Amino acid sequence: MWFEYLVNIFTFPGFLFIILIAFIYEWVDRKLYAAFQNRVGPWVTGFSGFLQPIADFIKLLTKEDITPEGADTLIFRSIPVFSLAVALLCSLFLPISGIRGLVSFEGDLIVAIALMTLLSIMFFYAGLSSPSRFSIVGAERTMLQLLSYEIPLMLSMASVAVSTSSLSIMGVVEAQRNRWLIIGPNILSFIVFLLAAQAELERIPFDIPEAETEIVAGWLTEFSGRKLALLRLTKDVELFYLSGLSTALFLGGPLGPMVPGLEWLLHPVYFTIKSLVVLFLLSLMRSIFARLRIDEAVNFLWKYIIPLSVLQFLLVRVVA
Amino acid sequence: MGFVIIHVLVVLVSIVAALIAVEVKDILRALIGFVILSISLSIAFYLLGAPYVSVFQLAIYAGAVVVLFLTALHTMKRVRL
Repeated sequence: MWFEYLVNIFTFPGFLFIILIAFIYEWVDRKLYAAFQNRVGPWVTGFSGFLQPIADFIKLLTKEDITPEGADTLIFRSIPVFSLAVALLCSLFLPISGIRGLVSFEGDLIVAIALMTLLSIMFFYAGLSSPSRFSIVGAERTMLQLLSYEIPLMLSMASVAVSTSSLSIMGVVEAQRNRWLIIGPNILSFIVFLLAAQAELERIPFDIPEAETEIVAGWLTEFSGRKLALLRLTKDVELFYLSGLSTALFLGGPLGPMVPGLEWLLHPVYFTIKSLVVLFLLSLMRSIFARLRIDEAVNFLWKYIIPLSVLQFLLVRVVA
Repeated sequence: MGFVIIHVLVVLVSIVAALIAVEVKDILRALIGFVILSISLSIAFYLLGAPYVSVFQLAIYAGAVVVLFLTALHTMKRVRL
């Protein structure tokens, strides 16, 4: 019993599966982004560049690992490990191989988002512990952006919780057996959730904390070698986690037409297909917008998106 | 028995983290102590059978309050108390 559970955590719906699928998602994202821009994207390693993210990861693992002079060594060295751990822990909440995630309890809907906040706090520490000014500017921008997008994110989750009257991801998925939540007034909260997810992932139009043309790579600037590899893997796992979470909350998670006896196969397949659709939307958003300035982003989020999320919350409350 | 051991461990961790939060000279590290304190408190609430209290402890203390501290922190220079 315990042994089986441990095997599950480390292999199939757990860590190994999540890391592999996170690499695949990075590949899909890069391919889509390239296709939207009339480029080819990665195409050398493996079938159509399929193995490129893994090759990048292994290459970074073999590179020299520098801790810059003047850095806060303890924090600087431990941040990559802890952030990857938090991202993987988040992913255990996802209902991949059934309506129940590997870790599931009452109230995990809020814990899932609180852990994402913890991840952003870790990125802030990563920036502040390195001596470069680019890192510090990036860290400050991370925090300002977090203050602006967290409220819409929480409100969209709250409207999901209200319309399914459940505070656990399992309950939300279970309530969507007949009708997905995206059909109905919750389409607005889906849009708000996607915008906030884009800001959480620090991708265009909200890639302000790591704006390449202004501040090199933001809080990521001073990291190299193995630390950079782990942080990039963290970003990939985060991408998988947020597209999976929006799948579970709005698109019915792993549910779909079932063949008796084949649930173990069909649940993950449905889940992956739906979250790839969400990934397509995220990549589309990334390629059709340009980067906002930090003041523009904070203005936009506070002036338009927060009222919109309050509005959708009231709408859901009235209709449901 | 296992429950008692886990509970005592959680309480010990929260005491140590609270001491770190109060005693450490560097503000950033003190804040890390505060985060660990609130996480272990939320685990303690969960063990005592109050899941909603623990969840909101995690969301509000480890999330919102720490973020507010950090935004206050980045408006000033990094100081040692």
